[in-house]
Amino acid sequence: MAEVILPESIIIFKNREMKKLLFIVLSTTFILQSCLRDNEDPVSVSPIEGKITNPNVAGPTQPNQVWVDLSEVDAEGNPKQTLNRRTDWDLAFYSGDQFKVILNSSIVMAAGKIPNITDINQVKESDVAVLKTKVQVANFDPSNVAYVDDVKGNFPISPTAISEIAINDVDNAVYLLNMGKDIYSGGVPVGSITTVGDDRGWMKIQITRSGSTAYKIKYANVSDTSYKEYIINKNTDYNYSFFSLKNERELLIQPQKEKWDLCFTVFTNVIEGAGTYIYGDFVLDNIMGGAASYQVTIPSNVNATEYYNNFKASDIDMSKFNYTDHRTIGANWRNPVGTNGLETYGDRFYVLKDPEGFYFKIKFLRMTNDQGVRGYPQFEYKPL
Amino acid sequence: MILNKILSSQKFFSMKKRTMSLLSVAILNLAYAQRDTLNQKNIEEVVITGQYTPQSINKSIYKVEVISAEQIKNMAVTNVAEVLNQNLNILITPNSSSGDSNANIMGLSGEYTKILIDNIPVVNDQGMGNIFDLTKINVNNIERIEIVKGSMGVEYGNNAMAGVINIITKKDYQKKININASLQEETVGKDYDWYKKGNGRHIQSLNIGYKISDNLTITADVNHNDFQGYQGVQKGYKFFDETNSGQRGYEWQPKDLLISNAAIRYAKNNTTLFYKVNFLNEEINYYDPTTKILPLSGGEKTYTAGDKDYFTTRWIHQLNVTTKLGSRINYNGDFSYQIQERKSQDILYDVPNRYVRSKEAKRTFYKSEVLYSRGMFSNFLDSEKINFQVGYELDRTKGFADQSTFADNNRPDGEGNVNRVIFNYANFVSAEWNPLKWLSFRPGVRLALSDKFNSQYNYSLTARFTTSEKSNIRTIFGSANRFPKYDELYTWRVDANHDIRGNENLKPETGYSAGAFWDYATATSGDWKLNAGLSGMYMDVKDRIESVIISNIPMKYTYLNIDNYKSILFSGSFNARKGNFSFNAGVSTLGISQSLNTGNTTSEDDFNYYVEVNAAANYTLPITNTLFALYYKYTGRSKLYTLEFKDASDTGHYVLGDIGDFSMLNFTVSQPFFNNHFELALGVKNIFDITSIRNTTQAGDGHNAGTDLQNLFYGRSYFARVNYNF
Repeated sequence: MAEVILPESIIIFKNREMKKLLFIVLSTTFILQSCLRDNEDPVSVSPIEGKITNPNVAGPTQPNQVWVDLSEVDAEGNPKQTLNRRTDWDLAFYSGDQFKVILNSSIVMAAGKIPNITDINQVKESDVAVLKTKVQVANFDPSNVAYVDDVKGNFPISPTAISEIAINDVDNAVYLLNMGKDIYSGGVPVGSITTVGDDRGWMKIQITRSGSTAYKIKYANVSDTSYKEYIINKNTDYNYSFFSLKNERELLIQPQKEKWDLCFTVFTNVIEGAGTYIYGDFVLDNIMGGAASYQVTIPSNVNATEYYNNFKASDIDMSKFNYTDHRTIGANWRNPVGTNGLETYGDRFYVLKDPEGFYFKIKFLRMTNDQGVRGYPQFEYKPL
Repeated sequence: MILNKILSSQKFFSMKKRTMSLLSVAILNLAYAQRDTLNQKNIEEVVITGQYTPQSINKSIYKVEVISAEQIKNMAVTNVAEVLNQNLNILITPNSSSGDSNANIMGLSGEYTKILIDNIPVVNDQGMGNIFDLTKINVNNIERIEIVKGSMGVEYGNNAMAGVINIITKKDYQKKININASLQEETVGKDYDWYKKGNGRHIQSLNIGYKISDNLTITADVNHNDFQGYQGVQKGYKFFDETNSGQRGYEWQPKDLLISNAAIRYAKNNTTLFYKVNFLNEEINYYDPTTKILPLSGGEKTYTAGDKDYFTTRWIHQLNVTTKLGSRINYNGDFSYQIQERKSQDILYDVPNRYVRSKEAKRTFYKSEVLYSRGMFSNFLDSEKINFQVGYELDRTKGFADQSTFADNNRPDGEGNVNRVIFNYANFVSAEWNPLKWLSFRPGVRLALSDKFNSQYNYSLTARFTTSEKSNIRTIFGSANRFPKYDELYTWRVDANHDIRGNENLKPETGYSAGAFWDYATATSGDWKLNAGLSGMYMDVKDRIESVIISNIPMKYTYLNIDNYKSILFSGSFNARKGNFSFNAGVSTLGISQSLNTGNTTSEDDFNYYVEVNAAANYTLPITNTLFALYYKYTGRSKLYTLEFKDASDTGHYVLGDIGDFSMLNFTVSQPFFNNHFELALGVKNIFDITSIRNTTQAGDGHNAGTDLQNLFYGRSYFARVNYNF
């Protein structure tokens, strides 16, 4: 076996020297590992130049519909908000030339024609048993689209669940009306919304014209053998005349037709191929009153706040305004099912032309309050 | 021989004494050092998993794979997940939002493997034993890790379907006083900061052992693992952008882990007992990738982020008694109390202004409290030919899970929490029959009772044929169950657009595995020790739980026992050792067939195979005693059926997705100094710089498609470790 020359590294220190060295090494390490923090200087952020508005949707059960008029402001500069509880009305009767009746999609109503019956008193529970399973919303049946009004909302021409009221009384069918859902009254986990509560039941209705400027509605519970009647006049100051079947009276819901721009509401929308689907925090334009909007996407390599702040009247592209679909803003301003949770998009804003001809730019800031509870949307806007 | 040569030299007698003492001690230490590194290899490894009493690995009734403390040290791993990833058919990956890790063993996820520490199951978020985060173990006080693949329901009860991983901690040292301290600094990918606390992984650990007497030993250890996070494609906690693009934060969340252990061990005559207490404290900082605008007064605004800190505290107490009752009966008993509590704290952080606006109170989201006991009685008959073992195992688990831990739980705040107590009791019996010297059988049966599920029976039958003094053939059959998780039982999402409900009437999944193992050990004339093995295993799991559409209009989902899983595994291993060099390699091919069911459609159930290869080589340079260690693992491309949604009208259809292949290579050089009292190790991990792989099998849900990339590791990193040994 060859002689092994032991290298110098294998020399024994005395225990004490070794311990000293160890102590030095360890303490140096621990000292150097102690908190020397990285640069923590604050960074400046571009300011908000517009007016901040908090539509009073009132929380995660979204009890209110909020109609906002950006051009009518109070002493502090806040735009006027008109509120109603979603369940305050059931049917809306169009005030224009056509005879169209709209369902309250914010409480998830639906309507289906009861076949082969013209006399409302003859409808029995057994006639509608099968129809009841079909006249539903958000059950993933793609054909349920037929039982709600067209989601584009351009009702003079868009199809409605209740067909346009015909001149001859006998041409108007009896409809099974799914009264939708109440406002939920329980607790909601933080970050979620619960847009529907208990079922409101079913009714049968038949609507006819009453002269050339009014509607007549006959209504009853499904198995009743007598009905009640009500005459609703067209009021050309408003888009619609609103009627509550539960309270059996007419009432004002929307402001006058040129006096509102945006509505914050729960909405029955359609997903291609899956049927109807219910959205909260949905924004509708007043296209019936003449408002329109379009989305501006901010390019990715610029400072979004400055791009929005610098957007002027001369940057408006008139050709982009959408006068035929009230969902231009819709749910496009936020994403509740993103991979990182609730998200208010920061890369877009909206240009709105209001019924009186004024232009505004609108940017959405938040979909929750500072506790993370949904149903407290917030946006900023500025006239152009 | 060298000593003699020096001693015989007359010329340097005066210096000789000093030189001799120096050199002799040096040589003895050198020899001792060599013996240390080869220690495990000279003595036959002893295993305890599945055995009546500690058994040499050759005589073990099961095929046990052992990962030694030496391999753990040579790979310079910082947690158990890292060293297990070197093993075939095991892949443990991080969950980027929770900071925990998910295991995939034999193609099945973490809930199918039972994790034991010192032979008893460990407490986890939903109870004990499975779905255990393997980064929550101190890797520096592990004596060895024993892995048995296959269903072990009889010995280890529920959830031991894919196998069992048994982590044995150090409880005894050879020297009277043992102090071991180590410092390890590691880069995280390319990030590392020595002086600015912001990057890298910093680990300090201390192990102490004191032999009070021949019978009594106390040990204690502390391990601190500080991981500063890995940004990857994200941009760190200071980042915000006006368009809210989700780029803030980290791909791997920063994590700070402190684990401490103390044990006292007493051994005299036929009795050994130890009491061990383990404490863990972990903090994970989760940084919100998105920001929200917060308007301030005067037109000013800022951006806030909803960060969260997660705190885990865990205590494990274990008392183990191994003794002889009367003159014959062996008793091995375990008594344990374990408690784990996890809390979260919401933090509202003002990103541009760099301060915390508000902090909510800490809120418990998981809490498990377990009382456990197992007793095994064996050797009733004083016979070599036949013997049997009787045992009981019981546990009482009190579990709490906040509804925020569910993917889908929208009951009003508080009503969706899980609060339950489960009591499990099982009896098991097995017999060992050796009709011939070269043949032994072991049948076993277990009856498990629970106040939550119907009684479960598990069976096992193993046979070992000693075909020669160098080789064995083992055939193994075992069955096991998998208990449903909280998600499967208590999910509740019923709202305007959804109806997804858990099913409290779910049965446990049942499965079995059957395998054959052949191994061969020999020594050649050139001083080579060789080991080779071949094995095949078939596993079948029935009544697998899956989320299923039970009505299309209106759409309703619930969980049912409906799926099926089969796998076939062939593997081979080879091990060669000579003097300072050791080499081992393994190859396996795993084929998986699943019959998945959405309620509307089922998947194809053909077998899809993929290959894995691993290899390791260790060489100690004799002159300098420098150790070179190289570890390699290749995971081949695999295919799995997964659920895909073409459009909104599609309720889901199964497509064959694939997972890309990747190789992991680690290299370590370590050099002992000052008589083995110091050791410096340097190395490179993940030499091929693997970060993420293509994975199209990640299921989306109704709203979002699954991503095509899976984050596995954080790229190539470098480490340095200093070790001091008293």
